[in-house]
Amino acid sequence: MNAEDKILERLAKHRTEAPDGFADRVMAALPDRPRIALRDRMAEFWPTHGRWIAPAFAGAAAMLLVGFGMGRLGRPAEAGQVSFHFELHAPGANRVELLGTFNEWKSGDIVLTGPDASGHWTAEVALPEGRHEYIFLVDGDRWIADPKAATHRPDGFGRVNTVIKVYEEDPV
Amino acid sequence: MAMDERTDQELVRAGLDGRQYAYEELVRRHQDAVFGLAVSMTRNREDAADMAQEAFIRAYNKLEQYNPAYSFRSWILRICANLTKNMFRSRTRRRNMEEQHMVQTEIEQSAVDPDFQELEEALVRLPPKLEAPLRLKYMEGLSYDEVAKVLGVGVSAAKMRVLRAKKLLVEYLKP
Repeated sequence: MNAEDKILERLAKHRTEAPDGFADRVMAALPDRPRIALRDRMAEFWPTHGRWIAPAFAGAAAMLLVGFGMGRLGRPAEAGQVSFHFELHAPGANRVELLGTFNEWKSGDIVLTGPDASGHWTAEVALPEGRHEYIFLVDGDRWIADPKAATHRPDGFGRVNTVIKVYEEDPV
Repeated sequence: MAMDERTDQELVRAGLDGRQYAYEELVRRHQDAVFGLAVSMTRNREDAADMAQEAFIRAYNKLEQYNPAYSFRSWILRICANLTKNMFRSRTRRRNMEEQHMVQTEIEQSAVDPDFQELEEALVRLPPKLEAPLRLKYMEGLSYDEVAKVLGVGVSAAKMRVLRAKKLLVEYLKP
């Protein structure tokens, strides 16, 4: 190894450490960012000042096309149901399915969309209020509990399901 | 899932939902890289800490604009580099004073490990235009494309600066 290689190796291990307490000072200086409910985030996309007609018709037409293309219409959230966002990071996967108590663990019923540029698969599903269990099925042979969820329970057959409780948020 | 297992992109999403602990993890992950870049550009640890702090605050305020297809580290480094350049534009006249000040304070404050100090002293001797790309390339592991984007220069300029920085560093560190 020549002198330059040795120096580059040292550089790779070298850090100029931020001053003590740096992260704490940054966090103390941050403005408050209120937690944003999914409903409110979606509302931000809604155009104002009467400019909603064209995008609304375009969106409705696109949804109809997608619905007919899939051989069925989408399932909108009904009263007592909550739209829930499922997401799994699986950049190398070819297909990700969602199976749970809400679709009687049927394979092929809910297929996630993806992967996006960051390798995430997503699905928006209308769930009845209450407790649900679910699991992701990747490429038809890998069962994955939701790594982002806090609660899991063994299913008694060697796999681990994720447990969630969903409730409609109280109107502000 | 433990915080340290989450990707930067996952932490950004949690930060967007108002979970400040997620953003704090991002700060802790990248604070040395951002501070190091600011040190190399400002030549003053106090200014560098201010620039790095401001960069993280700016990033937080425009977290919605972050594109997860790209590295968060490159993004925050670019914000810091732009802030620092803007600071210099507004006070160009003080630059020479700050460079001299840096050479003194940096060496005083890093008297820990002899190897660390020797390298830190050598880095400080490099012109800021050469030190910053060298740090990004070899300490942060960025590609030349990323180095160029962070510093707002062309890829060939970034390569040339890294090459010159390496030559000078070898000379400074000759036994």
